Amino acid sequence: MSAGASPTLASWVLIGTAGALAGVIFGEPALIALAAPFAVAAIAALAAARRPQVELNASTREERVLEGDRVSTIYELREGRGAAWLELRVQPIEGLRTAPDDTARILRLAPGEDRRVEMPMRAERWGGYRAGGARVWVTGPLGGVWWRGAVAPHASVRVLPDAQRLRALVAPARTQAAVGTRRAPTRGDGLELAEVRPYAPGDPLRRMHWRATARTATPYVADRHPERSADVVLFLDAFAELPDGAREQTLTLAVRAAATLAQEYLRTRDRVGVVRFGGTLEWLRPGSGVLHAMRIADALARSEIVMTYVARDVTVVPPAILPARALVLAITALLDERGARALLDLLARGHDLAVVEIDAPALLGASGDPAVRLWALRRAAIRARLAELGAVVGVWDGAAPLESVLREVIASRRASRLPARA
Amino acid sequence: MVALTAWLAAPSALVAALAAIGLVLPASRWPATMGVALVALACAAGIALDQGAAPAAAPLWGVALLVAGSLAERAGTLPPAGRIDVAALSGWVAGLGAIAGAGLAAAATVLLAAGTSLGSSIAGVVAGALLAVVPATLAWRLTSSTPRS
Repeated sequence: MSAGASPTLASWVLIGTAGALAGVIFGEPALIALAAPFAVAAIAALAAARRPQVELNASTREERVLEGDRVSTIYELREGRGAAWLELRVQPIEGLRTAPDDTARILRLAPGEDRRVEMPMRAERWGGYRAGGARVWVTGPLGGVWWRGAVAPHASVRVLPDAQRLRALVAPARTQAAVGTRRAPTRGDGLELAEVRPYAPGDPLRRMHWRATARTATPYVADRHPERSADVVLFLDAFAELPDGAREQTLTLAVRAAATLAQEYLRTRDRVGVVRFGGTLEWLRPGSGVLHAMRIADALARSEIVMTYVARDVTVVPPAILPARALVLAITALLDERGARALLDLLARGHDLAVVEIDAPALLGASGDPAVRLWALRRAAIRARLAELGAVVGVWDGAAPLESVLREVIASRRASRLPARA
Repeated sequence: MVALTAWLAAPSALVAALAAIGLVLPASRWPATMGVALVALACAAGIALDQGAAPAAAPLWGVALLVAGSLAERAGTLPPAGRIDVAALSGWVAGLGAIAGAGLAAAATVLLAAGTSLGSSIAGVVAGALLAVVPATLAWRLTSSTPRS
């Protein structure tokens, strides 16, 4: 901790010495009497000042919270020599809002006393934060000398995006070999009836459809659809070139949509992976289970807007991350050519692709400006190109529920004779 | 109160100007101006004493300025929002009261001693002691707070 004089200590010393000097020079004892309290205060304050021995540890009660939840930072204070006046000033963190009354605490600590101070905050925006930073000011009972120190924030808190509940999900066109809850388009052992057809040599006896066989006196068998799981890869386009507010809003919507979709697909026992496509390409292998859900939420909370000219290609993504039979659900604002090109690449590689487009012009409040109209035309051209290659695009402005966009996508996929489920 | 009584005791333009400076400066809420304001008010009181104000007012003016300066300083350096423990507040008020009492006693002693037959000698000794002790304490604190290699 570094020591410093209080704003008035210099004036105490000056008045004390100058008053005494003036009293002697002018032969006026009253001037010495005027200066005496200042001199006494300065001497006492300086003599009583002792370097404090403050130990401060900060931690957070919660490591992972959802947006809107409360995060409590706990400061554990110990002062070896005691502090008559200790100010604990919490370092503000963007994204974690502190109530005005909880931004600072002024305490008195007895020698060797341990004090636990809890400062509540509200998680306002998803993301990863370091909490626990504070400045500490200590002075004695007489003031005069202040000791100041700071503690760097080191307690990590992850604020996860708040996810909605969905009742409709885009069904993957193809399923995987693992058992799950989705009806596979193939025939095999399952619950859902696919077809009743005449018996062929080699058909197992347990597949006989006895009712049809009895009615027609010809042997019939029932084919069924097996229940399988699917792989869903969420493709998050983090490229953005928009004014600050709209850029932030675009990414927030994209991350919320991704968090919602990941949660719902995992709930239906599908395996979910994430590819974050920006200046750097990051991915999370498809998986399932509670731990994987947390891994996805952490990965999404780390998402940042990327302003870069580095161009990457989706070909660098290993096949294990983007399995051939996976449904790729892209969440993009179609703001960057590289993002759109990556989607076209995925289609060219034969992936089943559905796109949730974040409606950036609506978020921008775009007017009838010719440049904006030109931009809208370019976006429409990309959309048309994607549709031509078989991708279905749903536009989400953030105001309507995500489910309504998904229902549009499901309907469009049905119309284009791709399997879908509502 | 100090400014008003000093001006009433010695109604000169210089006292009025210094008192006005001392009263206006703290309104800026810039910590450095509090020290300047305190010095200006002390100068106003000193000039009033030199121009004929009752010497008995000196200890009261000195203590009043000390207390007012400390209150203004603490009010100016407090965080804009937050909570204060009652123990911290009462401890600080007690400390301020103790130092004000000690200051008042010291100032009164100086005045009483000055009224005796050895008055000027005692006043000279006190002044000399103040002149020696204050800088000596300051120097001691500065050296003790500087880390040695």
